[in-house]
Amino acid sequence: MVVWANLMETILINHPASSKITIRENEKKQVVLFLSGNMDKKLEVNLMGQNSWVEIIALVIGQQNSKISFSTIQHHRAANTQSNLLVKSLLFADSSFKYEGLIKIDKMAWFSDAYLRNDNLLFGSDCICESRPYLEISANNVLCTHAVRTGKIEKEQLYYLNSRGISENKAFELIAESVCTSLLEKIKNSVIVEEIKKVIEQKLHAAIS
Amino acid sequence: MATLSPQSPNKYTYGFHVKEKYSFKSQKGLSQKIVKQISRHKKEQAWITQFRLKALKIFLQKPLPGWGSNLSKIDFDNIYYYIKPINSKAATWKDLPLEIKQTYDRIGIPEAEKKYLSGVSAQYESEIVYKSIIDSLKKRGVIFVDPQTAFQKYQEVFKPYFASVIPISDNKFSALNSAVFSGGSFIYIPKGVHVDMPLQAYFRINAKNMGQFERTLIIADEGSFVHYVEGCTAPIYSSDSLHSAVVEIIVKKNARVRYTTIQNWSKNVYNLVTKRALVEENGIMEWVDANLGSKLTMKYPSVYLVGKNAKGHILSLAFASNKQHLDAGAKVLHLAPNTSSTIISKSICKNGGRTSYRGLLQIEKGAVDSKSFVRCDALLMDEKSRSDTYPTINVKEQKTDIGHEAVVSKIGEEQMFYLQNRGLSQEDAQNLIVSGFIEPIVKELPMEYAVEMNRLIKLEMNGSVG
Repeated sequence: MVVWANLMETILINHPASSKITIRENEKKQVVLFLSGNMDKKLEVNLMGQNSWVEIIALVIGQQNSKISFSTIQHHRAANTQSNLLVKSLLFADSSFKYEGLIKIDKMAWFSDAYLRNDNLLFGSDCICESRPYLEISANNVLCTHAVRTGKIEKEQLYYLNSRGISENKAFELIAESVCTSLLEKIKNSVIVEEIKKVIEQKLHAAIS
Repeated sequence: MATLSPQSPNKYTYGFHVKEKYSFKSQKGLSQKIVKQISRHKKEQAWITQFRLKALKIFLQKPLPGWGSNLSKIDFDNIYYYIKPINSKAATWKDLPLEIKQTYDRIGIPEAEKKYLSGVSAQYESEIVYKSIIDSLKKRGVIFVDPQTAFQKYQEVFKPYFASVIPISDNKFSALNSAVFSGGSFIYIPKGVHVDMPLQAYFRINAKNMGQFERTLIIADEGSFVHYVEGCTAPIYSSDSLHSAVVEIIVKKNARVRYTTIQNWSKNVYNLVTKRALVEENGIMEWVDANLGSKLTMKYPSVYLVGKNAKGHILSLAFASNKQHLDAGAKVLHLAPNTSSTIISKSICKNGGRTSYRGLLQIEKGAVDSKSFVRCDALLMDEKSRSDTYPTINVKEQKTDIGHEAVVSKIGEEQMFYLQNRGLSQEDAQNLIVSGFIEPIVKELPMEYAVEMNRLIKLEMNGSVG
């Protein structure tokens, strides 16, 4: 496992312009994004070489009145490639989030394995969330899966925390933090984790209070 | 017996009454004149003629949809927009394309039905049986007629709802249909009436099963139930290249409607259909939509959940082969609290076929506690085929629970290995897996359809091992 982590490069993208990333033969890359405020971000990942591997992790925090749109392309251009994408959003009052995620498998990209997951948690009553997970597949020997979940915090979770004397705001904070932690845990580079952890804490605190 | 074609000008041999049967065929292309002609032939009232003309204007103004498949190849000027059904009698069994004849034979459908489906014969053998069904329905107040009769006899029932769910200007093809519609079914189910057996267009004597521009309107009054079946599993031969139907359904309080389609047009047909249901409080709408035929299909049965606790379920199946492009899917709009919906889509493509799932799921503000789940599965049988998924999930209300999942894959090697291990041939194993894959949808079909459907899939699968 240690060897694995050393081989893999983790990239943090923290600028709003559109980005293109190429993964070459036998390369493994992890791409981390954190989106908040008003943003229109595009990310295209091209798996160019055989046995290339990518993991995309994105956290979206939609504060009050913020408009975020985010689009990703996982383009498999070579055989034996694997891509994993995880986009989680926490949306607070009056925020809007538009996400479009395309998995594209070229004809020659046999044995591709692509996964896309988008979870949206709605905290605010007036938020708008649009999700478009697209698949375009031209090779048959592949496995492509996507899943989207959009919803509110489970009543049972809130009830549980409330019954233990935790206020509603605090409960929101705990649940939001746990979502963030679940993503941060996946990031293999501890420097990057520390870097965005601070920003997330600030944003969350501001959004909830 | 003298061999005479119906086109023969020899009036003497044909006699007087045959002359009456002579069909009407409009000119190719579309113009105000032709629309007026259609209206005149149907002896329609002025407001319908006006409706048609207005629709024609909108059709000509609207651009082709810029998404989906390439529609620019449709030559709107090279199509007959109105052919009186009896005209198809002119065709003979011999004129049918070989592959259609073969399919009929292999599915093993009776000769009379074969002819009916191919348009060779306009009447179905079991006419008398169906007449008794119609009579018993009539006694319970069910209205089941074609649009022409509906406007003549039951205008007060249907007029308020006509074009209320799908307005003329909804899209280019709903406008086209509104301009030239003919054939189809208008159905009214009175309050509390449960129609136990599935209604089929077959039942209506002298009515052609499927038209080029059919118009269907179903009104299920409070607490009623009806299951309507459209189409059939054997391929329907058509020399026309464009089919564009409009289906409107109104599900009132506590009512339930199920609408089953098995689309199997011959593979030279553009099939562009608009289908939508409006569901009021506690109502349930179910679409079972199977697409096997046509060159290109673009069809997205929709459910608008406008009343509290309304439910919508959509099952969609697509099987594309030989350069077919089936762009099917579903739309659900949650517009009221406590509404729920499920969409299950299964698609298979092989031999250069292309299937697309295109769907919309929208939760409007105020539709609190609504739930929805969408699942799309696709099987890709070979490297020539292509599968796409384009869902949109649009949520404007916080208190909801929405899930969407999609998987595209090929037949599992382990599954094949297991089955072949147990002595099944490669082909049988594949058939078995495909049957299992589509089973959740096939089991919702009426029994005789399910049987034919399975046979048909098997037929389509023939030769896929190679």
